[in-house]
Amino acid sequence: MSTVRTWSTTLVMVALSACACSADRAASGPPVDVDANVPSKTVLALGGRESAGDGLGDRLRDAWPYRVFDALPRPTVFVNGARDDATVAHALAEQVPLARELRPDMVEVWLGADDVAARTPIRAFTSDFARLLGELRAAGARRILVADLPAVYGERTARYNDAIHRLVRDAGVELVPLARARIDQRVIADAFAAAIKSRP
Amino acid sequence: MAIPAHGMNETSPTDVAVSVRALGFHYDTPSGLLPVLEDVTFEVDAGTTVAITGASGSGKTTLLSVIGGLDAPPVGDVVVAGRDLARLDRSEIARYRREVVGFVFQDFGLLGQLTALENVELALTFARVPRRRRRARARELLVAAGLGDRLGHRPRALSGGEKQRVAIARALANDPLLVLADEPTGNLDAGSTAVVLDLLMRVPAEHGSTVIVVTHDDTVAGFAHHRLHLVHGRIEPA
Amino acid sequence: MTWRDAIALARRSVGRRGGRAALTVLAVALGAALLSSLLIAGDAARQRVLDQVSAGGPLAGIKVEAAAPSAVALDSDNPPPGPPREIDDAALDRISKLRDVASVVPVLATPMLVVPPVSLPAAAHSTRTDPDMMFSSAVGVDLARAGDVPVSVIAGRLPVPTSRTEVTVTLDYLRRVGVSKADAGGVVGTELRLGAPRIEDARVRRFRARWSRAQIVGVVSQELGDGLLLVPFETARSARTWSLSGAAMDSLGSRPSQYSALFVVARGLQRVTDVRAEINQVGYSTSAPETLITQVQRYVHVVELVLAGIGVIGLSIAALGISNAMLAAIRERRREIGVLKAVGAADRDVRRVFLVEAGTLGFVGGLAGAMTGLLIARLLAGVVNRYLTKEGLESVHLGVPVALLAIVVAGATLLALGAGTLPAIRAARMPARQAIGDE
Repeated sequence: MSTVRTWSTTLVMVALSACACSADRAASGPPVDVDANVPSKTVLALGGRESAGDGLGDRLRDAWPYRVFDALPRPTVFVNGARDDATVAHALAEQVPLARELRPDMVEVWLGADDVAARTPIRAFTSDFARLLGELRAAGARRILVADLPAVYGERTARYNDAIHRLVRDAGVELVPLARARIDQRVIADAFAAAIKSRP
Repeated sequence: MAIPAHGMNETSPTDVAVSVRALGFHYDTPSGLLPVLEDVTFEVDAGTTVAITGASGSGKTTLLSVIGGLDAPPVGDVVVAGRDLARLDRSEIARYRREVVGFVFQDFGLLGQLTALENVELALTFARVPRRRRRARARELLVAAGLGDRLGHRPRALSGGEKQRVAIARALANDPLLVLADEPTGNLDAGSTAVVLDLLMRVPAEHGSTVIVVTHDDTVAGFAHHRLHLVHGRIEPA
Repeated sequence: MTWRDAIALARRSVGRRGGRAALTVLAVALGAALLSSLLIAGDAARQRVLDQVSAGGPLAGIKVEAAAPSAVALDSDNPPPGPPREIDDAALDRISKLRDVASVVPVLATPMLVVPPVSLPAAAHSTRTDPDMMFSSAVGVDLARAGDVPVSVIAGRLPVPTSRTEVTVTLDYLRRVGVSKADAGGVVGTELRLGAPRIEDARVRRFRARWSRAQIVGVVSQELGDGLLLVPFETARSARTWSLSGAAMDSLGSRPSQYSALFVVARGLQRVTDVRAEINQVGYSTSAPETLITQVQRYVHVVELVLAGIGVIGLSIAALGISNAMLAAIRERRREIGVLKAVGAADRDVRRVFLVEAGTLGFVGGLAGAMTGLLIARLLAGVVNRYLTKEGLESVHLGVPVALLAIVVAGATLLALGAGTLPAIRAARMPARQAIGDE
């Protein structure tokens, strides 16, 4: 009888102290990001008006390079080197130096539309583009994705696309096929994202 | 041999367990001093049983408490086993009670919070006897008192006779020279009285102790070797 | 009689009179609960107030600006800084080596473009008008040393110190996205796009950003620098390296400093003045809420004394209760005391049994009271925190003040022993003839 009483008293004391001690603050916050300490990959986008997102209401969210960036894993550093009215020659002068500086792991290239508009001779277009790809390789880019041009830029587009396809083949880089696509940031982004995902 | 005052001779101290000389005792009351014992003188031989009888208020319980060291003797000498009680201080008298005397009370005096075994052990606890030894001793005494199956019972679960047998076991726990019993059968029925008396009267033979029993019951007194009769605080011939 | 036997006997005696013992224990427990809850609440209040004053950082914290000390008001808590002065590793080293400096944590603020998510979770209750992008600053600090800097987590947690993908936002961010402080938890878990800006063409102020994405893992209040974000040091450093590689930017200053500030902790509040003077001599402007903290401490100490006084009164009343209960028990137990003496108890033994009984009541009551006090303090803290959260303020956190609770239990036991001394002495002095009763 007295043992029962002793035990029940002990139990009450223990319960009381347990209650008192347990009401502490709960550990909070989201779980630690699995990628938190993974070294980040650097991605560079080169391009013209559409790639820079000029004219879009919210270019930082809607332009295709940012859409692609959002689809990449979190520890990715991204620089959008695109500029309005950038021909391949302009890009070679203004955007390629960024590649030398950043030494990106991957480069997304969508150039040519401004060359179509500026009627850049195919020969010059081809040689500049070849130099550009060479520079990117020299800058250490392990993946280079080059998109061709949607047909909507006009009749001449096909000749530029032929040149792009030849360059892609010769340089051994990856083609992002946009020849049949509409000019829609979402569509372009999806095409690039699909091409990126096609290889691990 | 118990010797009334008027026939007392010098006796060898080895044979005498209790020696009371010219003992007087009174209480202070608002109406003055109330004498309880007057000029009480007697001796009790070791290993005998003495019954102190007398009417209610005759001073027999006071006499017992003085001999037991519960009250100090204001007048006269009380010498027990060579100890003059009047000369002992508080701690010496406590030691005297612990080592020399065992008490049996009319209402048993058991502690309700303790079991029979623990009540018997209590006497040895104050003597700092190690736990294991005192437990064995208490068990032995209770078994001898026929209470082997009542060791773990609290007093409220025991009959009157059983309680008194526990009390006797406790009184014997420290092997006392002197067992003092105050109306030990006063609260018992006839059956229990016989058992308790039997136990008490065997004490001198089995334990070598001297037993002084205060009683107003002639039957009880009849079992004793000797008898002292108190009338108004004085010893009278029985 | 050994103490062990006395404890065993006292335990039985207490157990036998369960009702009275329970009431006595309850009285002690109430006193102890009052004392401990008041002390815990007082302690928490002090922490909270000082936390508020020191902005969640160490009390002996000093902020060193990337500026020379101003010639005036050197002894004020917040003097205006003098002309800009670069803080580099050499300065950091000199300040670290000053006597009485316990720690130095470098701070790096860097310009940052912040793109919030298009929509916030429902929990954020925001009615914001969707800012596309906010230009502000990110404050970088070694978060492994977060305890040495004035940073309070309001919701969530701090980023892993080495993480590249975790950030905390400040209350400024909440204001910018229209989230109230009470709903701070709503933004935790959302993702931000962060852009370190670089001016490409100073004439047209055209900039190019180096973007990264990060998850918001917490909301903080911090006093290290202005900005929407508190980030791991490396995040700020790499962003700043990019920003500095372009044309000069106003927000980086004409001579960009290696660190934008230092947070120094002195060895104790009383050393703060000396350390500040030494840092001023090294050539930097400092600020520290030392005067304010000293005043607040003094004030809070008075409040604590008053609270403790109330608790002690409660406990003293409980002690009187013990004394009274024990005296009553002794009157009732005269017979028992007599029997104890008749079977050989010395005065000392009787005193010991009664003292142990009183001590047991005090200890059990003290223990129950201390635990109840802690519980009460926690319940109170819960109510207070609900209010604070509703008002958008940081909540109060109670630890388990083991030392304080131990003191309360020990105090209750000692008080009970004190209260039980007189009854125990009285019991010991009782005549042994009570065993037989008065004739």
